[in-house]
Amino acid sequence: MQHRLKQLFLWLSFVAPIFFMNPALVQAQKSDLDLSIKPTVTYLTVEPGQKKTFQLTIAHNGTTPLTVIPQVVEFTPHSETGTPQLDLETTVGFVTVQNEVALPITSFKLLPHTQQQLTVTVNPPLDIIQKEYHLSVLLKADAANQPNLNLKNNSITSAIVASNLIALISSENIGGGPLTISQIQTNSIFDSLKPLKFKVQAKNEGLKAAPIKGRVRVLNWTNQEVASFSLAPTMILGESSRNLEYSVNGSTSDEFSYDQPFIIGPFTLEASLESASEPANTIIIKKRVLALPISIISLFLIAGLIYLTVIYFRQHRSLLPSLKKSFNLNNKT
Amino acid sequence: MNKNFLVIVLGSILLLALYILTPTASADRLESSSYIIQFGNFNVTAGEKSNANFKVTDTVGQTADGPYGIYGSSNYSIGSGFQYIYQIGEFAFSISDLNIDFGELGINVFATDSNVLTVSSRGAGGYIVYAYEQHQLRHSDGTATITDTTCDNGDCTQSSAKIWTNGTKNGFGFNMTGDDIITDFTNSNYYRHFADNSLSESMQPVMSSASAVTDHQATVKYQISVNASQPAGTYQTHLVFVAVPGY
Repeated sequence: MQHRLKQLFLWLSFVAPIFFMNPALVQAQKSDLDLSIKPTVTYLTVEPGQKKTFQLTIAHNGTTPLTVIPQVVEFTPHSETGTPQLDLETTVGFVTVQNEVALPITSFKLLPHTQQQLTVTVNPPLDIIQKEYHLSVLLKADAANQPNLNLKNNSITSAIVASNLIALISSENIGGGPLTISQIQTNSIFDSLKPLKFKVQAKNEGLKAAPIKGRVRVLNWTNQEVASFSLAPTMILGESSRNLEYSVNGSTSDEFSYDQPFIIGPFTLEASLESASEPANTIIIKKRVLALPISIISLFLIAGLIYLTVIYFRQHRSLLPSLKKSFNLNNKT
Repeated sequence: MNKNFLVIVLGSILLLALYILTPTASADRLESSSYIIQFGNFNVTAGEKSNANFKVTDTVGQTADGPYGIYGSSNYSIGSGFQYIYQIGEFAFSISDLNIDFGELGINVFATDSNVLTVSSRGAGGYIVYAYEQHQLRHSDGTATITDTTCDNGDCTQSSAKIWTNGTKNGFGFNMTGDDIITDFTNSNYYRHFADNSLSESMQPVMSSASAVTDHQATVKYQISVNASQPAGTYQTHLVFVAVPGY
């Protein structure tokens, strides 16, 4: 017994420390380039002739020393998804990027496991067109020490990471929006056996970005609510459009879906938006759709057609042999 | 006696190891040799809560939580409190290997290489990753190029992936598998070529998500084949991935 206890203690003294090892010592495979940038988006209002600044921080957790070149470009928000569509050919003269001592920089080195703080200055001239500018501060990163290119068939890969800047250049104090609903995209007639799916596109008719707040409902023929979707608080940038989204299963989707085993009759799709600047003004758009058992009707029609065809040939049996004969003659020729 | 002594010694060593290796937990200690946290507080409740319909994070009991000021109406805006950490969340993008090496190319056989793109986007609006090439794979003396693939049936483009399994259909293209990839990469046999910046082709989206994501990964597989008439030498190009967060 004592011998066994001794063996147990011996075993434990070697094994136990393993359970107390710091898990952080186990390291995942490192990437050549591993950049992070924050903040991801900055909203600013600047009067023409004035100046505002904000800080950007870029960190590199990869293994390869990088050369980073900053650039500021304009983007256009996609009319449905709101995704920034960059125009890499643009230059934005009134936004500059400086280092931590406020000197303009055209490029800088970023070593592994270091970070660089940048100062972005927005300084619009007095004669600038007053509107909301949709910009991205791009940081283009290449390996600082390129491999010897002359010896290999290869492709060098580099990355550009962006931080978005929504800059409202205005001498007036204006609120966001107004938001309107452009359209409810859906078919007018649905199959009763399929989900009722639709998208709702909203538009910001104002100069300034506004958050979406509201909901979408599905009402049946008695005006009773059968489905309700709270809208995700995404932003619609000034003078742009975007599909409304709602949260589902930890994600967001712009395709609203009312899914029941069988639906029939008229339904009303209702989208309502609250205005950020005038909450009392709610925009409501409705669209009527009709759910019909199209697939069931089609099935009956096809079955009926087959039935009638069979009946017809039964009643006209004499036709069959002559048809067969003419078919065989055709094959022989 | 000797046996009992040995047991005691071994037991003591074990206890000492537990004491040394176990991290200390310090409650209500808001300072160290490199920082002091002023206005630290214990919260009533905090963290992430979710069900099938929503997901929320909260912190109850913090002091002086914001906001203060407002975008467009004042000349300042302060988000004060732990929840505002989501507004200063970072956007992260990594490429596992910056150098894609095809080695020596055989005739009418594929050479491949790959790397992994990883994206984390905690802010609203998700993200999108675009891709383009500076030019087609070009000979080191600038005289010849390896064209971009048009796949087996000559119908894939920079924006539409098609099947490419025939090594005699020469060219350079790429396939993607993994999270958030564009839907026309139906399987590992579907390829596109890169948008060619030298021909003013617009860069194309290759990964995107409308939601916040953490460590979403996609593997990019590069594929190339040449024929016997391709001039000997080394060929290079420069690929660029542009990662943009939402807003």
